[in-house]
This record gives sequence, C-alpha cells and structure tokens, in this order.
Amino acid sequence: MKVHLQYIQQSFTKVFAHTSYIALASSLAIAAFLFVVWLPNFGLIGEVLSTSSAPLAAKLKVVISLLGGISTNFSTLSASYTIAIAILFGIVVTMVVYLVRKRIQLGGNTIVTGFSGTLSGILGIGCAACGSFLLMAILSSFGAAGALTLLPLKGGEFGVLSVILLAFSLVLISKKIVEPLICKT
Amino acid sequence: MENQSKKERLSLPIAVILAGVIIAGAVIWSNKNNANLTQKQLPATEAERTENLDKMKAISKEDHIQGNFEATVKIVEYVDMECPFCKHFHSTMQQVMNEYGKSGKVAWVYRHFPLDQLHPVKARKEAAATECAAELGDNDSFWKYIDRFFELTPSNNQTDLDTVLPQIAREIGLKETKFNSCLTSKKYDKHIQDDLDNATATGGRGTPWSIVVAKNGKKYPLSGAQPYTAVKQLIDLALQEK
Repeated sequence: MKVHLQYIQQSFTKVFAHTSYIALASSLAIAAFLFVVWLPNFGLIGEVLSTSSAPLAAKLKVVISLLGGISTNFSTLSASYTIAIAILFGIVVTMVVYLVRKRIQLGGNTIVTGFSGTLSGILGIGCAACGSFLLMAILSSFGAAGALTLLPLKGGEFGVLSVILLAFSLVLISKKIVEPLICKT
Repeated sequence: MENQSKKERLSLPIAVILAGVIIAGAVIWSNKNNANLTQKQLPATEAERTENLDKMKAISKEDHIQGNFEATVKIVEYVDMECPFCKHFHSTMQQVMNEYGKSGKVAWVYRHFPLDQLHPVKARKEAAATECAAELGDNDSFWKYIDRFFELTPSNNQTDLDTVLPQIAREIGLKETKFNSCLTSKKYDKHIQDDLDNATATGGRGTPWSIVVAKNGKKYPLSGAQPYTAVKQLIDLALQEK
C-alpha cells in the first residue's frame, strides 16, 4: 500500500509539474461532473437555452442553479462517488495523455482497468432520484429493472466499483510513469 | 515482433474510441428508453422528447391543485410517495407555494407516479390513501394527508402502512372505518394507473418528475429533487414567457 502511494506521489510530481496537465485534469474532472449533474435535466437545459423567450441571464441562472442538485438530488453516497469518479477520471485520462506523449507503452491491464472503471461509472451515474440510474434505463429494456432493488445500494454498487477500478488504474499508470523503461530479466 | 508493437500502439486509441462509442451509446440509450417503468418505447431525440410534454393530461379542476387555478405558472408534479427524493422535494414545493402561491403566481398540481419496481404495493396503496382522503374530506384534506404523510414516512419501503395510513386519516378528522373501506375498495387503481401512464408518456424516467407550465403553454421538464434555487429560477423564467 505504502509503495503504491509512493508511486502515485512520484508520478503526480512528474505529471503535474506542468500547468498544462493540471489544466487538462481540472477541465476533464469539471466536464465529467457537469455531465453527471446535468444529465437528468439535459431536456430542460436544451429547452431553456433553445426555445425560451426569456432573457439570456434568466436562462443561464436556471442552468447554473441546477448544479445545486448535487446536494438535493443525490444521496450522500452517490454524491461522494460522483465527485470521486469525476476527479479520478480527470487524473487518469491526463496521466494516459502524459504516457502517450512520452511514448511509454500502457500495457493491457492498465487499459482494461481504466476502461472498466469508466464503464462502471457510466452505469452507476444518473441522478439518484428514484428510478433514474442509467443502469435502470438499460435493465428496464430487458424487463429487469427490478433486479436493481435486490442490490443493497440499489445500483450504487457500480459507482463504488468505478471508484475502485479507477483508483487501481491510477496505481498502474503511476507505476508506469515512475518506473524507468527497462528490460526486466 | 513488429506486428506486436503495432498492436500495442493501436490498443490505446482503439480503447479510447470504444469508450467514446459506449458513452455515447449509453446516453442515447438512456434518452431513448427514458427508463420507462412500463417498458413502453419512448422517442429518442430531444425534439421528440419535447413533443412528449404535450402529452401531459390537461390540467383540470378534477386535479388536486394547491393555489390559484388561474395561476400564471403551474407546476405539475408526478410523485412516488415512498421515494425519499419526493419527500425532500415536497418541502421544496411547500417553500415555492409560500413564496409564489399566496400571490396567485404559481399553482401546484399533484399526480401519482408509483414506481412498482422500487416500491411495490406500498407506493400505490399510499397514493390510493390520498385519494380516499380527498373523497372523504375535500381538496384540503388531500393536501393535509400528503403533508402529514411526508412528515411521518421514513421512505424507501420502510413505512408501516397499517399504522401510518389510518393514523393520518384520524389526525385530519376522517372517519377511520370509511377510510379503511375506501382503501380496500381499489376504486382509485385506474386513476392512479392513468397518472402513471401519463407520467411515462410525458418522458418521466424517475421521481419526482415535474412539468412547469407557463402562461403561454410552454412546458419545461424538471427531473429529480432539484434545489429550491433551481425551481425558483425556473419559475422566474416561466413567469417571463410571453
């Protein structure tokens, strides 16, 4: 565990010494957060911005105020993992970009873990208002929406799983960044 | 060896593209299915989604309305009474009515949207209880019943129906025997199902699901228990519709 934290610390020192990477990670994390919080109300946002005859300032106020939904429309657990997923997503993708630019091979495990973490996060997102998890949309297509009720966290498991996978992915990527390119015997 | 290296070089962009496709697919799928709980196909595009709002059953005096029927803005809320977010949003709507209801600017229309997959039996029975309260009392009794219910319920299928439902009926002055008889009659089952069908037809994907209607008939969908500030901004915008 201590070794893993050292990998992360050292890789952060390398990657985030550049302000451009800090900017990229922040932008991606904010974009992911906005996407998730606004997701249940994309219809409203589209409607307000495109067809309302109200002044632009009034339109923007509606869109911005919807961000407060993170405190009212999400449980403590789902708000926590939503924020964690957004931050980890921003960091992991930025570190992947760093690796690519440094021409360091990622390796299959890293790709699979990061990819699974993102996918799991997608399934777990959706505002936590009753019945609107994205996964439920998919399950209901198969007539299996009720299956979610059997889970103790009612689908929130995917959000937690996503955080774990993204964190694991972060460790793998950090190791790649810190370890020099050597041929192991 | 060279082939292996080429494969490795391609693996990242392929994974990124695949992730993008899946994200886009998931979002489109979500919009397309609208998490409809009766498994009906609903339109996918935003344009079609907007049209769905026009499927909202017209507001009439048969609805349960709090505030002025001729209000400039009407908020139609579709509710699952076991949903904790509906409980939270109920107090938000009470705040809305305190600020906009007294001046007649906003009216609150209440409709049922019990989510059977999440709250089987209980949500429908509670919806029926509110209808019985309206039948045995009046429109005020309906609202008093709901207000008290949301004060008492722990939500998420944890409400003790046998205790809570008759208790509220007693508290608001209804005759318990008549109330229990009404509750077991199933006479409001169709009405509740009609509300539920209307919620899904308008694009409701979960609860609370609300539609804000401006004076000129323009409709805005509002999904989830949004904070008071967001509802207030939306009302202010709807009040400005010409």
